[in-house]
Amino acid sequence: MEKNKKREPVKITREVPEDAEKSVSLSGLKNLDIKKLKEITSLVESSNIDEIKFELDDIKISINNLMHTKTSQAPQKTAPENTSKAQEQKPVLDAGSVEIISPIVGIFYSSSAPGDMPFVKAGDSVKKGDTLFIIEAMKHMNRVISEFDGIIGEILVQNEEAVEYDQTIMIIKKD
Amino acid sequence: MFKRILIANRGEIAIRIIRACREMGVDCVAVYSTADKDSLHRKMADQSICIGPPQPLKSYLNIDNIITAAQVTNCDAIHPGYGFLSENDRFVQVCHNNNIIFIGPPSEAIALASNKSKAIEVMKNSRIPVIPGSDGNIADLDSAIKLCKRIRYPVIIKAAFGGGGKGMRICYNQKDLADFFPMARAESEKAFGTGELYIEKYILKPRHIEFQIIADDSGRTICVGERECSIQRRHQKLIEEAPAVNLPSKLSRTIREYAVRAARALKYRSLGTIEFLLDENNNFYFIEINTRIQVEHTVTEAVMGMDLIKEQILISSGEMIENKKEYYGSRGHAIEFRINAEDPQNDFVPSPGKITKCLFPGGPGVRVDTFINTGSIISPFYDSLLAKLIIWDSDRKNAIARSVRALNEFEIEGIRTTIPFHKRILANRKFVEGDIHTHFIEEEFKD
Repeated sequence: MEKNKKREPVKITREVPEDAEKSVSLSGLKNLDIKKLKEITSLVESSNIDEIKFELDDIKISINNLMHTKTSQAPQKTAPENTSKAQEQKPVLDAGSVEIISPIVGIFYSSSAPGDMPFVKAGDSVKKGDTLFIIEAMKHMNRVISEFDGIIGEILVQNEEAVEYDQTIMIIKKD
Repeated sequence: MFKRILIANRGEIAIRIIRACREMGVDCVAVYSTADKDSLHRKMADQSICIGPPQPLKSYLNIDNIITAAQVTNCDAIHPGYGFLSENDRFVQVCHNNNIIFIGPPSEAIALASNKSKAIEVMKNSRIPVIPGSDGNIADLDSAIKLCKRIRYPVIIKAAFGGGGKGMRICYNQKDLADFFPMARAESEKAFGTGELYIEKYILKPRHIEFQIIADDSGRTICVGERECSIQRRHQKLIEEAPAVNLPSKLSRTIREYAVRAARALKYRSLGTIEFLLDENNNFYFIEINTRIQVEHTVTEAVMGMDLIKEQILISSGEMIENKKEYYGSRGHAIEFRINAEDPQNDFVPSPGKITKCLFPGGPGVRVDTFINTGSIISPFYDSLLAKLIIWDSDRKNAIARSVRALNEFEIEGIRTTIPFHKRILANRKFVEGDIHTHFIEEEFKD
């Protein structure tokens, strides 16, 4: 069936760094509920408000409706016009969550054949060794396998969508 | 004509190709490594695809990812630029197998050109002058003497499996040869385990001149002028000019005819460059053919008033050379300066880092091809070429004056560049007079 070409082992995971907690607190978000923040953000997005700024103790937050949302004190960069998918879909990660990234350029398949059940869907638990998805490139089906046990979080790519190297495909919450 | 082209390159050449595509109304897809995610070529293209990590082998040389990127974005052609996959005959084959047009010559022509001894053989058969010498190993001193009488002194003895100057000896007469031949053999035996030697005519002050050729699918081949690339440092070109400096027009026409003959002998298609060495007595010898667009194509564009990248794309899409092009005239003089991220005060070591300030020259006759700007990060993963400054004026003297003016306007801060070194070259009397050859920099700038 699928044939894995001779490739050196590729890294398909991107973990939240050990000091994630610290880096979050650096940007002043330690005590703020991310869910709350998301709520505020979507409120701003669906409203006519251009920008909302608020302070909480020593935390300053500015959400701006001009170019999607940013939640840090860092200066806001304008997104390039032709932003590629990997850049558009930077997910918010909780500690313990791992991004599964595409190791190659290719076409993403969520199941082994059209119409079949997808290998995984959000909320599924997976075991180490389970197939997560397939990336087709150069007429080869490259099966991407989970490196650990966990629960599937968000899946950021649609079936049969083209993906680039380093693009986040899905999030897995590690057990 | 193509609908969409994937540009399998980065830096200034990727941008150069994007510009040609824009003017032709062709969509372009950029590819980039994770190190280049903020790079200008990516932002300028209609679409961009990340093809791998910073290491070139895993990104810009990653054939699978590049071909797949072309497929998923529905590109009908790939432009390879220069370097990376531009002279990889296997890549051309893979493009062909996947119904993608490679903008360049067929794989057979690339394979033949990259096999130097085979290419030389083809040239000899077509009576194109090559550097005279022994065909392979010289058996003994007697046959060496016989050969050198024929090819005339000076000659250079080289170890067949050598490198780094070991076993190399320059002989100006028969006495030198008699002295050095056994020495070179002993040295080669000691260093490389074999005493095999070959002898070649030694060219004292060689000039590197090259001829731009264009060949369409029907085999019609034209030459659109020459370039002088004698200002080199360790075989890396630093300054290129068009036309060649003080080259008699009759000689230029003669070599052009040989260049066209060389391209035909190799069954060449697309754009290519035939390189010759020119000695002090205006004897010329074929050295090699470059099967890609070259960094210095810009000086030909400046004097010929043409766009070589567009020509290359048109030829690959099956267009035929129009008759008028053969009669294009060269006008004025052009000089290209390679602005590299290198420290000329410290043996030209690479100088990667962040560009804190960048100010480009402008005004009449000034062209800057670059991908940098204030804030750009120069990655240590790729070559050091930051920008090409191309100057055109009515003649060489005026072009030099304009070059001095433009280089003085050019400011790059945060990293070291070759700008100050170019200014020193322009202040050199021999350069200004056109007394140049490939050893010019090592002789004139010994410090």
